[in-house]
Amino acid sequence: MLLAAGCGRSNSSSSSSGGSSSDPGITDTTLDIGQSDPLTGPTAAPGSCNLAGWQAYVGHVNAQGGVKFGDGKTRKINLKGYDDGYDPARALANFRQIVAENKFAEVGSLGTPTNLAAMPQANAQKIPQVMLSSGSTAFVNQTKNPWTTGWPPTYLDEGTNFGKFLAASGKTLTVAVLAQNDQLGLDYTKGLEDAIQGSQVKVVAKATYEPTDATVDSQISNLAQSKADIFYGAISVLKLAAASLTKAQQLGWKPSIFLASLSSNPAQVIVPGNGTAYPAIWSTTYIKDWRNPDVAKQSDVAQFLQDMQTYASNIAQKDIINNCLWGYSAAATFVRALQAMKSPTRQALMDAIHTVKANDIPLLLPGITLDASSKTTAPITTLKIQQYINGAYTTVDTMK
Amino acid sequence: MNASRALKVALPLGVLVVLAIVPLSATPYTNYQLSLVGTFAVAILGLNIVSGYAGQISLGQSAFMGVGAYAAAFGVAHGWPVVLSFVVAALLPAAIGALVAIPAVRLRGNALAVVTIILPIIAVPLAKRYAGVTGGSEGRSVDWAHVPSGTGLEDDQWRYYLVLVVAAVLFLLGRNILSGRIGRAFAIVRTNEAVASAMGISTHRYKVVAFTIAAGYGGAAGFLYVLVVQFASPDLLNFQVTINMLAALVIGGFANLWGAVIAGLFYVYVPVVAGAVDPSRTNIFYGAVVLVVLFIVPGGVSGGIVRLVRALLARLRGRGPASPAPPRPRASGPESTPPSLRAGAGSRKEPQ
Amino acid sequence: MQHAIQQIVDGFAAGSIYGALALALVLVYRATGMINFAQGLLAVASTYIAWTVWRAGFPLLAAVVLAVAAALVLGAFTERVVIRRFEGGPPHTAVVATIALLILINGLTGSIWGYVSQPFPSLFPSGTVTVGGVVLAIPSLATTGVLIVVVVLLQLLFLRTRLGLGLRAVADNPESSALSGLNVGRLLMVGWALAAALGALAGVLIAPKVYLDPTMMDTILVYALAAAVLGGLDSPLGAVVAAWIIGVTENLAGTYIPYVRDDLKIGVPLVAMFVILLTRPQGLFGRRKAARV
Repeated sequence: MLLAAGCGRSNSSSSSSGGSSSDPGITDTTLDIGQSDPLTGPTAAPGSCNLAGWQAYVGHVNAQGGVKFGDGKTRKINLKGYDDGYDPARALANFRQIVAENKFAEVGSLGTPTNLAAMPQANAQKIPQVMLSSGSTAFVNQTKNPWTTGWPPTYLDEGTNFGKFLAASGKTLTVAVLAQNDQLGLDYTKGLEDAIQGSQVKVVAKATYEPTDATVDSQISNLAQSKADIFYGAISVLKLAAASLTKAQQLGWKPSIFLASLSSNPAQVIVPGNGTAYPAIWSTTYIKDWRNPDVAKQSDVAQFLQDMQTYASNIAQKDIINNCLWGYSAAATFVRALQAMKSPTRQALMDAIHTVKANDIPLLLPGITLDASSKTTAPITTLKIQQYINGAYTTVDTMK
Repeated sequence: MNASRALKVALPLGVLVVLAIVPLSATPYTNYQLSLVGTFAVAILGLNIVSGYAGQISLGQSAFMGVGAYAAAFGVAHGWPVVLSFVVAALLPAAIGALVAIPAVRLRGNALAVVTIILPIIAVPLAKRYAGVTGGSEGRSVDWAHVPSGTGLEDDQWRYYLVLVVAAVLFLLGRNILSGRIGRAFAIVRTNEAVASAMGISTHRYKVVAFTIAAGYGGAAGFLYVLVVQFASPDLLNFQVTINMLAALVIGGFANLWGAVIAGLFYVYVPVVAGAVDPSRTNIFYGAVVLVVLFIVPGGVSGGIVRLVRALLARLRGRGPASPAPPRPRASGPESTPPSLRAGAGSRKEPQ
Repeated sequence: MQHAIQQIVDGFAAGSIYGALALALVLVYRATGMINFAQGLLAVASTYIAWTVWRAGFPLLAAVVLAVAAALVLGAFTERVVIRRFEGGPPHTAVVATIALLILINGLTGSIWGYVSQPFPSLFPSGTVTVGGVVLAIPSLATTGVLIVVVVLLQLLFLRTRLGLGLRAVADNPESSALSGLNVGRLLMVGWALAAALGALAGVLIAPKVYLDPTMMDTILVYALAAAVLGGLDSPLGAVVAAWIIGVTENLAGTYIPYVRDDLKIGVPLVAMFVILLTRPQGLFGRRKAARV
């Protein structure tokens, strides 16, 4: 493999590949795609779950004989995963390797700086870099980067969504923010602040943390001084979200809690953090809560759980976190695009993606529409607020 | 005798020729990887100078590389001439290195090592904070160093040659420094500081010089990094990168400059091979490979190769019964391991 | 004022976490003359063993005891099979061997147990004690108490027992020790075994607070190294005191120095450590060493 990727310089490697009869990585019966994720290192949990979700869905459609593409041919999908350890240089190397190994596209990769490093190259070489698992606004500008698309709502959208929820309540509320010290945290905070501007909701305290921090005790202690009504957790590290919940109540501060979608998992966050001590816990969401036994019976969720067990058994069911579901759902979105793909070219894939407009993608909540036709927003822009009540999440429209 | 001298000239020339031809037929992916090898070889060479030759453990090399990378990215984004960007990328970290080293080298051994860790640890949050300069946590993309039209080359090949030329120059420069007075002073400082002072050599000054040079090389490597990856982010500054470079250096070997090249190959390619074996278990593979290599050639691969070549040459000259197998890889060869790094009474526990 | 005291108390709690691992580092250093970068990961692996036993239904205390016993074996095994090879050679090689172990064990634990953080039960009752408005968590108090006991035991071990004397001799001068009839190999194994056991203890004390995953000790290792060096690498008491100083300084700097805030607060104790070492290179409680010509 190493040698194969090393020799044989082809002319089409750095020039446009649209317009030829068929692009590399696709035959009449197969489609080869690659994905780069942090499979080791501090971000390995979300990275592995993301890949597992993709593998589960791809395994499922392959077992059914493959996907019927828009050009009439039925093809199986060969998905190959690569580890980048959340290192941008390795992510770019993986991208180049994906190209050298003649894969059709890079799909669903998780991470922000990693995908940012590969983005200019993907667009220069006109290689699809699609359904990326990142809420960064950097990936939604298709006028600038036509070959790159995101998939989930942006962190900005999540913040705005919750800010509107608070403002709409009409109550006078104070908010204390604990945000990750990077663009993710900045976007969450900005979304919130923009949405509550002019309302009776105010941010009264802010603190930041690093994803590598061992504890956030000091930050929670400082935030508790404000005695704010709401704790806004722009947190992506599950154990730190749990630790925040533990510490705040120890100090006697019991605000209502907001958890970012990345860290809203009950088993790893709310339960160990004794979340029931708080008057309310909300999160933004766009996928079904599979842990709710009633929801788990719904056909798409049941199928998801079964596929995870069959095709991605490296993730134990109790260790399933939101990233697995997002990966599965993103893979389903990708397959929708394949079903609309009129010819075996990369340009045709991008065109097909832009036609995807659906509200029946597996695992998406009812009422969440996916619309990938926009060149300025992520495919999913709507979110719902869910509240954790009696051991499960339920969607709510207004704040009680 | 003739065979040996011929080999000494032919070998580097041959290698150079191969290096010059490879990119013409290799894929952009391979050229990218090889360019990264050259980049990290330069950074690790800097580490070798301060930690190997001068014997001062430095765990801050990734910070210098990162500063150089940011300087280069900043320069590119603001339209500086390339040479200016390079000079700033090398000199700014060198200045920082000197400033830090002046107090720091008064410490020894483990204390010095732990103090140098401070650099990458503080550099990451600082880079995130001064987002106007660095692009913040999402980093800064640059688009430069495109191949001039008319050469018939492509971008990846052009960048490869740039890296090759810069790296070759820096290696030659390093070799001259190390084989001159400075290098000899380094060796004495490393071996026995009391003797050095008794000889009138300012150990403090030479340690600072070693750090400065190492930092400068790190910065130059940062420049090359931005040339190849076209992206700079705080992820380059972090502690893990330094650790990996140190491991690669020990694998490559302290004894000679080729060790840094082998280290670069190791740094870039082992994760790739690991990914081919099993993408979700790359660190198991990486750790195992490091241990296995250390077991076989504890003095480093370059030292092992040198011994192997010597043994082969001895055989060529027909010098009696040479060892039947490659020499046992114990770190006891006189020229393969810098003297102070061999065990001696009290040398394992360095004075603080 | 109460808030400042809360930050100080939390700083002590964090310092106890760093100090627990720092003690294991000091033990390895004192007994074998080496800094073991893999100390944190050995602790993590042992804690996972405790977790697995506990999940299988055994009482927590039994799981912990088993994990400590497993750590003894793991530590001895690591020294004999992996590290022994590098002990006579260049110190850099030995250090990188421990770095390789760090990476390898990280991969093994992730591969066996996955990367998702797991809650880990505390040996002590959870709950808090409030004194004058300042909240102290009982597990943190207990960890600090255990730490102090361990420091005393280590001091006794090194200064008052033959084993301790043997360990120190072997670390200081292996050749002379061998000539004096000490079984150098066996003593090194014992040193690593004890350090690993101490690391396992640190792991089960720390995990309830920071949650168990393969990267649990990564940041803590850097703090522990700093604490060990600041305290004087051969002083258990120094390591713990230094760890407390680091924890408290970090919290106060992050809360009260406007420029520092949360992201740079880690730099303050580290820079302070640098300054202290410049004036006192042997660390707070270390012994001055003369360089032999």
